[in-house]
Amino acid sequence: MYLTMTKPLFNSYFLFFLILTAFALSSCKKESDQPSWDVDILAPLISSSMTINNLVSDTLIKINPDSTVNLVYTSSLINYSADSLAQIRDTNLVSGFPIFSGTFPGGYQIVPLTPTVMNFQVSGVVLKKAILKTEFINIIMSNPIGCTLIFDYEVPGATLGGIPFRVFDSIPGNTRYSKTFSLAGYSLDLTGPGGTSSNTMSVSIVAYISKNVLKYTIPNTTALIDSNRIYNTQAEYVQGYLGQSTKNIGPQRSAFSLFKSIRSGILNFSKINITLDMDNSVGVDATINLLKISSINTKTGTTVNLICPSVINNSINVSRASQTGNPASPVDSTIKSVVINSSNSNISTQFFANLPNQLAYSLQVLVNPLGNISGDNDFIYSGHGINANLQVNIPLSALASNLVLADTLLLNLSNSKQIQKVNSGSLYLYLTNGLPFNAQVQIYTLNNINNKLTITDSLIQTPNNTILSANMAYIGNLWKVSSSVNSKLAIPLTKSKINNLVNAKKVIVLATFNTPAQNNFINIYSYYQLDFKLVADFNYNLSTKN
Amino acid sequence: MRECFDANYSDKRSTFSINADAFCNSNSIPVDFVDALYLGQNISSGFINNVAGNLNAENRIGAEFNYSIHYSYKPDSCSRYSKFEFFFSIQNRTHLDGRFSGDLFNLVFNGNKMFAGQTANFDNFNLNLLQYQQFQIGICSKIKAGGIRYGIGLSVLNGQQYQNILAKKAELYTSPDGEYINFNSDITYKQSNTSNTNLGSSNGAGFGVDAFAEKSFTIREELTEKIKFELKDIGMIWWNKSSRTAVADSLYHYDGISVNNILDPKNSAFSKLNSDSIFNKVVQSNPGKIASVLPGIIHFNSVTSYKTWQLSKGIRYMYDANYKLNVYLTGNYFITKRLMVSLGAAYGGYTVFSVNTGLGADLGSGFIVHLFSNNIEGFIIPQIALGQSVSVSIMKHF
Repeated sequence: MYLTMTKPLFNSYFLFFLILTAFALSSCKKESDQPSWDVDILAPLISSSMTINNLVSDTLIKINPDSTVNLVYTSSLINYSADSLAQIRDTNLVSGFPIFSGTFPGGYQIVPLTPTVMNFQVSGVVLKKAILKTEFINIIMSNPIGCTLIFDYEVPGATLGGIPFRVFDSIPGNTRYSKTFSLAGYSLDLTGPGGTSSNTMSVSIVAYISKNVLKYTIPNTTALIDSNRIYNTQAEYVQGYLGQSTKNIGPQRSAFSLFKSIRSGILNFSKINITLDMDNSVGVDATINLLKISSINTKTGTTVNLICPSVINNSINVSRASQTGNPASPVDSTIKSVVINSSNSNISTQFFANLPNQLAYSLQVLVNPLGNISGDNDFIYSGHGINANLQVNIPLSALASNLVLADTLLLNLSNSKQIQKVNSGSLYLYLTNGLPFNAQVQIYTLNNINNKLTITDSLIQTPNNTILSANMAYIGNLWKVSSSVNSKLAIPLTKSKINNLVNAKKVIVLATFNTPAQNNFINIYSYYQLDFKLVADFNYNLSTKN
Repeated sequence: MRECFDANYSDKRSTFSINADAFCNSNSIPVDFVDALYLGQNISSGFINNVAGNLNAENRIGAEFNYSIHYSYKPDSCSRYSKFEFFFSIQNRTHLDGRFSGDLFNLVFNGNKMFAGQTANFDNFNLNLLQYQQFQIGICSKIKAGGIRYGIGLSVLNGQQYQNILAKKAELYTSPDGEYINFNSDITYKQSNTSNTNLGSSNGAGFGVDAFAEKSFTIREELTEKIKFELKDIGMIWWNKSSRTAVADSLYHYDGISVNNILDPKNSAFSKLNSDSIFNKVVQSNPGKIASVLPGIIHFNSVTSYKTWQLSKGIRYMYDANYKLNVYLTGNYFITKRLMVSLGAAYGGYTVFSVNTGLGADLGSGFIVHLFSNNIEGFIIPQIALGQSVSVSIMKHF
């Protein structure tokens, strides 16, 4: 039986539904777009292996057939381009060619064949021949008469494929003619009209009244003025006598990168060879005098001069190169090498024991010390010169004692949301070392504090921050790695360390190396390697948007 | 329940209604945990561990959110179609269901460290997400005393989004020190076009059929029985060629991203250190058409009416949707001819035990409203309740 209703329920029920709906909606208000929670992650991040190839730049490494490794480093002392020995400067030549006076029909020659000589502006050298890489000749002529002149301009000594340079052109009456022509590729005979001179070139010109003119009267004696300008000359080849000159190089410094990461400590190599290689690819005799070489360690402020009486302040003659006649490889260089080693110098005991990061040197190069003994047959091919390189060759057999290597790396994790979601935990570095040295490792974070880059934290947990050396065994008269050794390094990730890492601008990786204590030089083989794995063990704030 | 006031408007020929319903049920995850996920809260470890402590060997979760407009028309007695009622509806349907092991829950919410030296097992993990729009027309016979009433609705479906993960095998082994992880899997992942998932986006098309038959009996005066057998959402959706099927059927050993030169990070594989690169190593993904079956419902219901009381009882099963047979019993009491309340209980489905309650009111002038929840416990004791649901309907007879 239904209860009786006296009025519709619409208003009260509708109000009830509205309240209920509002309550339901308000209770569903979202706090954020994505829920989040903390999870404990244990997972490998990175695995890698390092051999000596990773530790030293590939260009510095030479692997021998027996898998031993040599460090090879080349530093350039002289890179003397011989182009400067015979530079042809811009040259101007102004000549006047008389014009006949009188009344002449069209086609009549009014300037006779008139050779003139152009002298090139070179100093101290006697050039007989040149092949041009670039050169421009600007021919400027003024026509002083009222009708068109036809001229025939020729440089008999400038030939391309045996054909002399020639310009056949016209100049309207009372006008100035100016045109520039390229002489690139031309061969210049600089012996002049008689073939016995030098640094000279002859020019000839003839001129006619244009055939389009019936006749023309030249009232007064006048002349055709020719102004030639030869400029921007670069020779592919020159021949002659290139003079006697002295080139002083230095004192100057060059970076020496072989030990650039070493901060301190002792590193002794069983053997060090330096070869001073001198390469003369110019047709002149040269004498090289190495006045001084010093090893400079700017970190310790120590400078050690090379003591080697057979090389330092001792003139070394490098005779002239010869021409092969092969255009593809026209020069047969003369190479001379001088060896500097521990028996004739202080190279091992002092010079490289200083662990230099710079080399300083000064030397002198004397060209044609005996004068013109080639009979004007000195030569230069463009791009060739006199070079001297210092080649350092170190068999990687070493003893290291507290050798501190440091490298600074740029870091920018401030935008990494992932690392900022790490609450706490550790990174673990699992290492399997097959290299014959142990290394105490630390990573420092650096940040700008008061505009000064300051160390803010160290990351690797101490004191167990040593990568243990591989086990060694005496095999075949040599100490070799017998088995790899495992190590585990921990990087605790507290909130403060994470903040320091996130805010860091740079990190310094500092490693102190020691070879095993056998007091024997240890050969490094190319197959020795260090395997490592970085494992994350941390509490991480995960959200569905991660 | 939506039909409980129909007798008040038997003279009306048209009915228009707006309906919405939503539920989220599980047999192991409490309501407040689901709410915390939905509301974007930061979930504490203690909260997670409480939930993890109550997990079953196999855990289920299911959720739906549907809303629709519905129109029905009864031709007058003079019409040649006077024996029938016609209806039309437009519905937006979202269905989610899944089953998962306790290990998977722990891996997701606690991380893999707790499995160091052990294997986390996610075998038989399954997750289905289906979103589609339904355009339905139908016909049913008018109630005839003592006779069988039947009806059928045919639907055209617009597929909006589909995702299906089925892991026949999935095991994750974490080495004791974390130096490597092994993932042994036989997983198939199907998904429709993920670049186009907004409401109404068309990534597939399908059909659906609903059908029912019911019969009323008069046992004695004022005591009647109505039994009903119903099939709902029998159908399929074919998803277009922008869909993808990914298969992971391998043992993957992961021991960190391999870096060629650790001292030269710019040229090394650091940039590959992301989840995508690992995913791509494990999974082979191919584009192409896929098909999905609707989570169809088989429903048997019986309503006993006596004076102002009704007792509704029934069983319901949703196939291919990680659903357990649901048994329910609900009592309706008409306080007045225009106001009805209900209370009942159910067992099964996506949850274990649930209490349902509802309210229906005839507001007069043809307006009827219903508010119903199959899981009222989820609003009262969300800390331990395993389900929450609400259903709202506003109807106008005219």
